[in-house]
Amino acid sequence: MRRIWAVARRDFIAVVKTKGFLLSLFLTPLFLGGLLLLPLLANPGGLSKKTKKIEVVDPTGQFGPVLKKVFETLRKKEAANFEIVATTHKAKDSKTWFKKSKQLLEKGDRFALIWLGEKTLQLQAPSKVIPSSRPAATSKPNHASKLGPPSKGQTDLSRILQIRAKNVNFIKVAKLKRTIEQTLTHLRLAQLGPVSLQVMMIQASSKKLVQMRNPEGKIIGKSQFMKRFMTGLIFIMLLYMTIQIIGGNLVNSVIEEKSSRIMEVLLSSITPGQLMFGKVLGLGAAGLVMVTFFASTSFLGASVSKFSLQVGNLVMFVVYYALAFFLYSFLLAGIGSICTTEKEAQQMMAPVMLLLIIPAVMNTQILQNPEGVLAVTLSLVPFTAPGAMLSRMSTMTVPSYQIALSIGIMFVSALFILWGSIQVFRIGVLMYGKKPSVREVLKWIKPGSSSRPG
Amino acid sequence: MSRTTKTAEDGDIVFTNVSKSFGEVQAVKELSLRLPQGQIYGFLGPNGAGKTTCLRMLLSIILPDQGEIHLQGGATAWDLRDQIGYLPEERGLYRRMQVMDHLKFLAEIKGADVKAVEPRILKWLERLGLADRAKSKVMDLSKGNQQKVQFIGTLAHNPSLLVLDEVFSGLDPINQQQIRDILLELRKEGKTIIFSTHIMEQAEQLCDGICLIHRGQCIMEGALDELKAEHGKGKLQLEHTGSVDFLQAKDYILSYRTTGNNTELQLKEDADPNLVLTALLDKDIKIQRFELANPTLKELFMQKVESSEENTEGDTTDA
Repeated sequence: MRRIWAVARRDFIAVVKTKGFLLSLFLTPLFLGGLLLLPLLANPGGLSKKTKKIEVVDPTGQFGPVLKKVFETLRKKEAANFEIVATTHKAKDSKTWFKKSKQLLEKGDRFALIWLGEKTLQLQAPSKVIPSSRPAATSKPNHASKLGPPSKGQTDLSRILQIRAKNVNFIKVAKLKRTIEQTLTHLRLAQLGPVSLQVMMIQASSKKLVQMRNPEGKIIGKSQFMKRFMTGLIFIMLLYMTIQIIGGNLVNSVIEEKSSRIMEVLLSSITPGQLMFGKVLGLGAAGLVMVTFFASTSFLGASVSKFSLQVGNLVMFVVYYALAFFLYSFLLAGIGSICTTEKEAQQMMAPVMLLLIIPAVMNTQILQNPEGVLAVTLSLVPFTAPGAMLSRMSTMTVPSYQIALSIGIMFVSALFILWGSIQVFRIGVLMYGKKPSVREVLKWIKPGSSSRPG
Repeated sequence: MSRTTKTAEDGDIVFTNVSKSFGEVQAVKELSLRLPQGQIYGFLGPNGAGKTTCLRMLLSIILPDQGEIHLQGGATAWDLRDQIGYLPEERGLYRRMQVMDHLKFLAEIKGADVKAVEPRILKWLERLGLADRAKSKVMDLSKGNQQKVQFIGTLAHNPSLLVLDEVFSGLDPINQQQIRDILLELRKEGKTIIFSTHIMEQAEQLCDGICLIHRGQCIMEGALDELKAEHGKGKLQLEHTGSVDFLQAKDYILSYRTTGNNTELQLKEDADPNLVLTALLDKDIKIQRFELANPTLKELFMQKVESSEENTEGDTTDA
């Protein structure tokens, strides 16, 4: 035990002292943070609190002021940063005004231009096809029976409300469009008299009558899906980062020991199992330092950015993390022992690391159908179980037998891989030069091919 | 491995019919040896002869395909691992570790108490002129100094058996001498030292017993002085005036090599050197020197390899 401890301590210090470790400790949270902030940074408009001006060209004089009021209310309520510059013009002037405003849009002084057709507010179905976009001089409000969408073919622009925007910020534009649609609906409905008020009230109250709840009856908020998505993803990322860094170190240190022949000194003093276990333990401790650091920084970051992560399954998180760490580490130690150069090892590591990110790639499918064959299979296969199971757990109550089964499978697989890797390890570590074939490696794993006692 | 086979006398190390092959390459063939306790024993041979394989099997790092190796009273190296100090061929050190930490680590995996070994390590560092490098990283040391650190690493836990693979490589003559002195001292303390080398002169200066390996086979084995006495028989060196070519035809001559006035003869086994002397005197050859030579180890080796009827090119695989 003391010898395992000596190996563990040496490997721990060797890793923790490397510049790479320290760098990854500080750079990873920065990188992850950057990854979340990047979309916002790439589109500064989305982040800046500067108000955006919107020009409304409104021949009716009814729409502009109302929209302005709506946005003012919104601004107070949810900080929507639009400012309306409404201009009312006679229908025949609107084209000229629009041209002027268009220049403002092109210069970037306006975020969007809203050009209301003079007949947009009217409750009238359009006449079939109007050859020119020039609106007819007069038109009377029509009956409800004629209400409907504009007919296909050439659109009657006098009935259309155009939103012209240069910046294709979909979220912003979609939000703008939704607000304008609602305002337009209200204004048009209002023309029907008192009935419209009732319609509007029913509409509003209907929204509150529908609620999303989980099986236990807890209300699921709008942001829940995102949280779930992120919980699974962050777990996999965390696992991936640590295994990539720690596992990489493990493989490299095995290769260093092999190529420097210190392996011979080690193996004339301790068993391959002791050596391997000591290494995984020491590097695991380094991994623990890393995860603790990542977790605390992300907790800090989350509390700062008010983005709360689901930590309800903390125990499961720890259990799966530990199992996954040992499973992959043992596997990588075995891989390290049959490689001669770091480059070779990286090539062999790549497919293993790919296994690890399968659940991340499949995260959406897992969340959409957490009880589907894919999700259940992935959460039972030892290599993908941690990520997949954690993802499932965030969406549903996974039957406990499945959890037990998956933990059991992982535990047994980890032991099996440990055993197999030791077999490979104790032969592989003394092979120099030639890389063994798969068949040879499999032969080593077979019982009875021991090269030494212990 | 069983402890019941009591083939070994007390502390002797005994190889019994040991064979090992790697794939197609037979690294060691049916080797049987006895390495006496408290002596310096050398495995000699060209590169790829199987020396390192022998040492690795001796240490149980690899197991023989066939045969057995017993250390003290039938124990395996694995049983005695804490009393063995091993110096592998090439540097076996963590490059980024500090010298002192490294040496402590090496002692620790041998089960030694770190606090107890520290003064011993310091003593050795001082002796080998590395006291001021205790805090240096291994990679910052010269090749020779690294080799010295490695050497101290084999001694730090005070083992009773030292196994040294090419211990002199990378050392300048002064350091080689220093290591030789230390090895001789250690032998005086009763430690058994086994080492391998391809440089015969080193072995000649140090070894009590040797095993000459060529292509995995032991071609000569035993106490060095006995071997020399035994195999040195029948080698004659002559300095003379006049041709002695007529000697070639004599049936007691095995080999004949001349440079005109200097001639080297190998007599057949049991042939009397006096036969040559009489023949020379019969022909009135003037003799300046007539010497029954004691061959160097190198000569013995060359002679043995040639007579083993195999060509002397060693395998390329350094097993």
